[in-house]
Amino acid sequence: MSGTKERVALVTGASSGIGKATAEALAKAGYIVYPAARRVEIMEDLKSLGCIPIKMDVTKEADVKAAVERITRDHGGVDILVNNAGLSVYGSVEETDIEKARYQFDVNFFGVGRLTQLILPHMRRQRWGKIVNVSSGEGRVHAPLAAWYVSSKFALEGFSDCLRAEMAQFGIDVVVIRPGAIDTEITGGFIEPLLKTSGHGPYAGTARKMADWFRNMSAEKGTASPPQVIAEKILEAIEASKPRTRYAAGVGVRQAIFFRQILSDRMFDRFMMRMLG
Amino acid sequence: MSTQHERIAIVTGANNGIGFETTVGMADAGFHVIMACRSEAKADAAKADVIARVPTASLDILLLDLSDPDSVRAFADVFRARHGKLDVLINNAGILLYSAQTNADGVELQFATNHLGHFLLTALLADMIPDDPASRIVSLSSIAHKSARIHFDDLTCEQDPAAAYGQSKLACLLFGDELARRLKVAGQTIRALTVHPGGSDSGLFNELDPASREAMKAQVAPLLHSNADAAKPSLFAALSDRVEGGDFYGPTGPEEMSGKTGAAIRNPVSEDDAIAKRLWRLSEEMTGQTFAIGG
Repeated sequence: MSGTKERVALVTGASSGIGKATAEALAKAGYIVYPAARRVEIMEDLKSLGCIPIKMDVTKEADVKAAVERITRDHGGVDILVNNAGLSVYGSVEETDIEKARYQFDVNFFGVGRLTQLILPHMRRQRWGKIVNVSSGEGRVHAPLAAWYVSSKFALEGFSDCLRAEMAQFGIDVVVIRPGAIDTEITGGFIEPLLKTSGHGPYAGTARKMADWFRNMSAEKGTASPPQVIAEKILEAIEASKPRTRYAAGVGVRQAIFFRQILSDRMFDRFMMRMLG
Repeated sequence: MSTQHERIAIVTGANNGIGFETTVGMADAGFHVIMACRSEAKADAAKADVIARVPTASLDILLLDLSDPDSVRAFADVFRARHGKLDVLINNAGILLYSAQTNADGVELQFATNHLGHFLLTALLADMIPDDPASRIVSLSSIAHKSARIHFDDLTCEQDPAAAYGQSKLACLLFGDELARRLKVAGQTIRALTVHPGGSDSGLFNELDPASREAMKAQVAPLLHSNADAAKPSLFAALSDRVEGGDFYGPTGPEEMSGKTGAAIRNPVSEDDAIAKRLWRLSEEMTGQTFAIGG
């Protein structure tokens, strides 16, 4: 394909946090950026950077199809897909409503899978494409009261590995990003549902410790990183001629992965429970 | 001042953590200890602390930055000018990083410091070590070596920066093993061996913001053991007459995090001496230093 054509990026979950910071970073770097989110109205400010906000609920087939069709019509197709949209369902395995658990997978896993299916034909035909899947430190490292979330991210990690191997022959790169503690509105939003699900029953002790842990996460205190740190990693991954298969950034994530790597399962469990306080 | 009969030890990274406790132990055992440290101010303070613990301690500070080959060579020159021999070399200094960093030559900083610096130092001083079973060269590995491999195709760990620390500590074990084999082939009785300290907090939480660092240190402290306990395998390797070249020691408690010193569990990679030999050749190339034994 022509080297002069500007690359087209689709960033999901772009109305706030990491997604918004990524849309901004890519727009500033000269990409044609479609930030996508359910709340299209709060992405108005991105227009000043040349972004084209697009309404999309990644769990809605019609939304996803319409978005890809529009981008294909206007700019030929998606060259760079940043699968960032995600949510975090915290609470014990036992007490989490199974419908919420399914919805967790619908967004974090099937949302990514479906969108990927739709953008692949264009990337494959042009033999160029970048798929960046925003996982989490918890895509490698488990935690108590996080089973539904962690398993959705472990699934995403496995999916990404398979996809990378599958698409290499077509010149398409698949990269996993593992953010650590990031100061976003989602982080604050963990606390109430966690306590609602598990804050009063048999898991209340651990739930309260986790809630304190989340409460303590702030960029101001240095206990979390601003989302721009992740946006920079995503840009780095997109622009690298040979990107790493995984990037980890943000407070604590490298330490957590390091411990997970060198300790046994049970010793890591003990470390983690100690860290929660 | 050291006398002719005095036994001389070098401890790298002597000013804090395990190195500090190792220095205390060696001084207590009657060695004249050369504290090889990066920072003169920190070394001065540590020297005073050692003397407070061991009033008879005979200590000298000699500056050494293992990440800088010129510093290693300068250190070796000064040591050679001042001393006629070296009885025990404890290659203790180590750094643990979570971010990708390189030294001035573009070598991954943990590999450069933890392994290559010690390889070069040992190569430069080996001929000063008496052919005697009480002579020791002690390498420090880590629990982290167990899940590691040597990324010969990506030594900088560009693809996986989190693998670099374990790689450097596996290199320390492979170096200790290969050194022991070469000493044996050369008919020398010097014992080269490797230890790991178990679970110690020195450096684990560096690079975190101070608030998180202190909180995490306090919380995981009960799972780790003290620096004095973490130094026991090093002191055992340096001082016991029940050790053999090529041995690997560490704490033998649950998960090797703490406990009595004994035989440590190896990464199976270390049982293939072809990898150690390849690493040795690579280390010679990267340091530009031929390492001949008994030559």
